[in-house]
Amino acid sequence: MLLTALTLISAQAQEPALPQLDAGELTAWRAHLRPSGDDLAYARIDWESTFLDGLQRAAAERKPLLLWLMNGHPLGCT
Amino acid sequence: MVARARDFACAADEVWRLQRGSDADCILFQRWTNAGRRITDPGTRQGFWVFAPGGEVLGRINSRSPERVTRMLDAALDRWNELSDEARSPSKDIPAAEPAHRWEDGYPEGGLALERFSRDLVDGAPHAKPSPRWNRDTLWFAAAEVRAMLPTEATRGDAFALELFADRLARLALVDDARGQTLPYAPDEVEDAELLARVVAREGDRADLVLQGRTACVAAEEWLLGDNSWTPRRRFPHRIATELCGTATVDLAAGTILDIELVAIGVREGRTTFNGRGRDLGPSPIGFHLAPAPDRLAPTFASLYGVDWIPRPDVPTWRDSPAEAGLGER
Repeated sequence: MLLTALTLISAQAQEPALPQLDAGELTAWRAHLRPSGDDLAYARIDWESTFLDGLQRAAAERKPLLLWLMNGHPLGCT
Repeated sequence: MVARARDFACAADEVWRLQRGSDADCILFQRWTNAGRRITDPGTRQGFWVFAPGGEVLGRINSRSPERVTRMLDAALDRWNELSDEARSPSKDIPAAEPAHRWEDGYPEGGLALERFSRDLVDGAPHAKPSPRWNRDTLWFAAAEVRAMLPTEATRGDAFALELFADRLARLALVDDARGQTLPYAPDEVEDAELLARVVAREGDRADLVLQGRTACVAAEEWLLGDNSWTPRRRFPHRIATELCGTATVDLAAGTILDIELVAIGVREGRTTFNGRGRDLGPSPIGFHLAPAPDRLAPTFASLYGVDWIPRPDVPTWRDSPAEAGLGER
């Protein structure tokens, strides 16, 4: 059933035309695919990468802990 | 929000481990956020939390709106400022020891850790303004795996296959997660995975390589990767196929990859439960970029690598409790 559904999807939708991929365009692809400065605004915050490290820092600095949690590490794949 | 963050100690972490794990830091998080009890319900605790180091929850929101998050931070800071010195003191329950298990423990020292970006492709890529939909992950290879993939000797013009590399790319990295976490592919779902390296220059032990390859995966009707925290409640058809090219510099004597860059572009189709595709079933183009990772964050699918060099937790996080896993109460 799953493969039938997928075959049906493929039959109804045209494959998109893809740009040519060659080693000469690696620089352009790098700039296009990697996140830009705006994409990485969240990285301007100095995040500890674990809850425990954050707790220890909050205790040491006498500050409240701001903890950002997601399914997938927020600094990785979410 | 960046300016507000200076008033806080800031940390980011993966929610599933904290809300279901059995290490001391996980249990602390669960007790602080669930009225002193372990979390056994399936509801997510993702979002932004503000804690006093003593454990009081000063604020919480699960929102993508910067304005709403900032309002929560302001309210939390107001509550913090009203706390007495005693109430601001750190909890005695903060673990002194590192957790017994984090997936980062498997970081491949001396091997290869890659940072991988995925992004929906727009018309005119790579010269047009990029799509705002992108995601990040990492991909690991142990030192012994890299050594085994590389020949000990090669001259200009020689070519060799990087089979493990191609397989791990196809199954675990070149997946449709540009809009949200997705599922990996099982070995039997790989229709094609090839990565060929050709030596274009030699100097001493160093060799410069040009890389070319392709991947193609189609999801099977049944979930093939066992009972674990990735097991989906519902299966949807999905597939992806890519073409790859890139470059690498290797040390053939040492059996190491000194530098590498890979680009993959291809077509994705279908969806998984949480990958944000909804009714956008495609087919549509997608691109990936891989290069050495600047950090030690574990790959999303570390638990599914099936290798003994990535340590596994004592108590799987998809079990309700250590008791259920036969390890007694903790």
